[in-house]
Amino acid sequence: MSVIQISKLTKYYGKNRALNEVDLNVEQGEIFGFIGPNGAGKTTTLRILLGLLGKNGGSVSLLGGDPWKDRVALHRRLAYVPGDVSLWPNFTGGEVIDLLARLRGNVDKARRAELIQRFDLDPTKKCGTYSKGNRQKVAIIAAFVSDVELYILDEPTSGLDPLMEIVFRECIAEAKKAGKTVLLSSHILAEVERLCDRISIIKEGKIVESGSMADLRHLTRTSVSVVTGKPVTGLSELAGVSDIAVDGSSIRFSVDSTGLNAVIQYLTRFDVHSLTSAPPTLEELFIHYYEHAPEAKVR
Amino acid sequence: MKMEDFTGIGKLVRLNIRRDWKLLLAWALVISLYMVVVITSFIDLYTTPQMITQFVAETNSSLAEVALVGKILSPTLGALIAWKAGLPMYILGGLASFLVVIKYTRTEEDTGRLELVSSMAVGKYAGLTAALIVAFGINLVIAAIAIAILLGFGIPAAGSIAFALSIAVLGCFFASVGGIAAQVCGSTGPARAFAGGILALAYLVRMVADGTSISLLSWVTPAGWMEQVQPYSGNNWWIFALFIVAIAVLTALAFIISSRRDLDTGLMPQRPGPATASPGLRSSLALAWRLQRSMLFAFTVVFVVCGVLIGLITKAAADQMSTNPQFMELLARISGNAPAGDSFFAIFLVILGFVATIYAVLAALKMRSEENEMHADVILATPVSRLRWAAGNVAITLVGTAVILMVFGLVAGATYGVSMGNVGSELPRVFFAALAYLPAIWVIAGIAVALFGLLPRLTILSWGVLVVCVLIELGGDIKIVGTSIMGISPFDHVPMVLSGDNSILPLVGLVILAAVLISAGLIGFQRRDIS
Repeated sequence: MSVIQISKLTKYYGKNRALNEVDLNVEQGEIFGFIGPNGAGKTTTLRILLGLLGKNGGSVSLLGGDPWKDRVALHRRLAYVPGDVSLWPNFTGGEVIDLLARLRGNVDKARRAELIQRFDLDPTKKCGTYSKGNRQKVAIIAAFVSDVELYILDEPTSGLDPLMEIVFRECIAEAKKAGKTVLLSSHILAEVERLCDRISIIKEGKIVESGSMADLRHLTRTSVSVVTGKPVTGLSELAGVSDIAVDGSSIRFSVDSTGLNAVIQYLTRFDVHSLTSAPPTLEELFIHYYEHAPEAKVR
Repeated sequence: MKMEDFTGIGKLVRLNIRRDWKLLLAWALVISLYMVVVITSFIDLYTTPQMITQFVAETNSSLAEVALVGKILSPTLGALIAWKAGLPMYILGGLASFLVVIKYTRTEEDTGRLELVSSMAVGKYAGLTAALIVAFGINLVIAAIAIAILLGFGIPAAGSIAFALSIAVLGCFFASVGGIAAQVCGSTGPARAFAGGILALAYLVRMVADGTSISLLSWVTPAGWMEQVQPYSGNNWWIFALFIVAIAVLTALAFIISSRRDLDTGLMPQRPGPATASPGLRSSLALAWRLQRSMLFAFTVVFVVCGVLIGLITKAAADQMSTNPQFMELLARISGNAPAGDSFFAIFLVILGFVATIYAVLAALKMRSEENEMHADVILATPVSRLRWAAGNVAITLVGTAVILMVFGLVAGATYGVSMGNVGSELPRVFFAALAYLPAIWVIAGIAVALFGLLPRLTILSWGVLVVCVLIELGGDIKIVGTSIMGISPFDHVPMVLSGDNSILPLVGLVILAAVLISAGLIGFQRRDIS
């Protein structure tokens, strides 16, 4: 069953086209990653799903309803963490958590206490004095304290420190185990990779790729960095290798995933001391799209 | 303080002017235009020295006029202009000056832009200094324009220079007050309220000083100093030294406070608050109340104080006026046989009606600021309908305005009644006279709500509407504005209960108009994008 079904969604801000026929399909119980650089249209899409913005074209279905018309009924079944968490400066974090949770339903006090402890939040501080990361924590706790079917999270970890990111990932894993659906927007590929079942990439208001991470990997290059005992020669003649940079005994290059196996076998001849390989970053994915898929560009 | 703390002032001044030159230009234009209108109307109305002398004598014999606007210091055209333009210049110049400084300092800090700017080659005092330079500069420019206008109409030079400069130094004074407010208060809203409170308080003190003839009091307020400059009569140049010293002290104070606090804080340290929300905080109405209650409380206190002061002054004023046969005769011509105290009261009600409107517009536009600060997103993503959210805010606006007026009516009516020895009859009269302003104020609040729902980018026009109403009222006083134009202002339809006008129909009409405006706003809000 689809929790979110978006087809050919188009949105204009004045004459500026923010979304261009976006398609997105999120199934029940899955963690769905929605990635793209800043300004690509992630937040606009999420705000349309929340009924905060109207659409100019296409169709949107959320939990079987219309996000614009059935706002109140649908909002009982979801929780939202905004990207730029702005809270009332005179409210304490604890007050905000209670207020938002109460507006959605009742507060499970044990769950609330547990989350505050896990995220290491001081709920007596005024929101005006919180750092960005702490405001983010307040919004995340306020969302996860509610037992809802769908969590819509807009760049929830920007500003969180690495320890808190781990706690956040645990929360997502628990939500998945409980059969909840999560739509997670991010511009950090690594985060999405760890958490998500499927992803969609949006660029300049258009979805350029959708699928599981494995589906997308084939399109991309892996960067390899290797230190060898003997100088490496002839690497550039192998299929799929490019961007070679030699620095003494260490050498860096990138390789198409199709050519990776042959390259690793070839390298063993040169007495490998150490080898690291890194999956493509979001930036590399985008570079890939600029290089290989110019037709995906939106004017 | 070191020189490098001030690095980058020039860049910031240019940035401020480039960002807001339209606003600054509008400020100068409104003041210049008003000056021209006042001058031409007086030249048209009072063609002979006899007419001026008579008008001056009549006005100065009215304690209400003297308390409200001040004395006309000499029977000359210049003094007449300074008297008429003085109050609007005080309000407009003072308000614009501190608003501009707060905008360039505290608002920049609130929005985090200052943090961005501070990370570049900009000294830590550069923001405050640049804001003050822009505010001082525009005040001096306005003074120069005013001098040119006055001289252009052939008004005596020395008096014109003194008058124009008194407007400028007053603006600079409140620019410094804005600078202090921005340092003391933790965010934009409270800073504006703080500076606005001082502007109102300074005016009230002068009002009491002139109303009670306790001249010593007029020396503790800049509004009194502005009068003591005595343009076109005394031309007391040394008062400017007093102004300059005061401005220097206030500016220094702003810098000292600024040096003792961290970015994003005020002078008042933040204490830890409750770890859980109070049981009542479980609806959007409760949230709106929590966000608005302190402003309502502050306005209520101001109206209670005003009620006591005005209730007490009126008796003394009425007594003094009854001993002046010339004035009693004039009054009889204007308002039939209304007692002197009543007409005195009526004038105060006009002013306080406008102050209550400021509250109503601030309260109604709280929704817009909640939207701009992205707080509305958080609430509207929960199962709170847009109608419920907006209606809660509107309800607080409407009820809050009623509370302010009723509290004032009760307090002023009671003190007036006690001083007249007749609480039983005075209290209800004053109470209903104050309450009669409620529908007109609701109409202005309704305009703000309609703009919010239908044209959210133009909500600032609500203030324009209020300014137009004030100008119409001031213009109507000296017959610049015709009755047909006066009819545009909802305040023109408020029945003068104290003069025995008990008509209900215009009030019903105003309430219906307000209801239509508010409904249009609420409907529009449900159909538009949240920005």
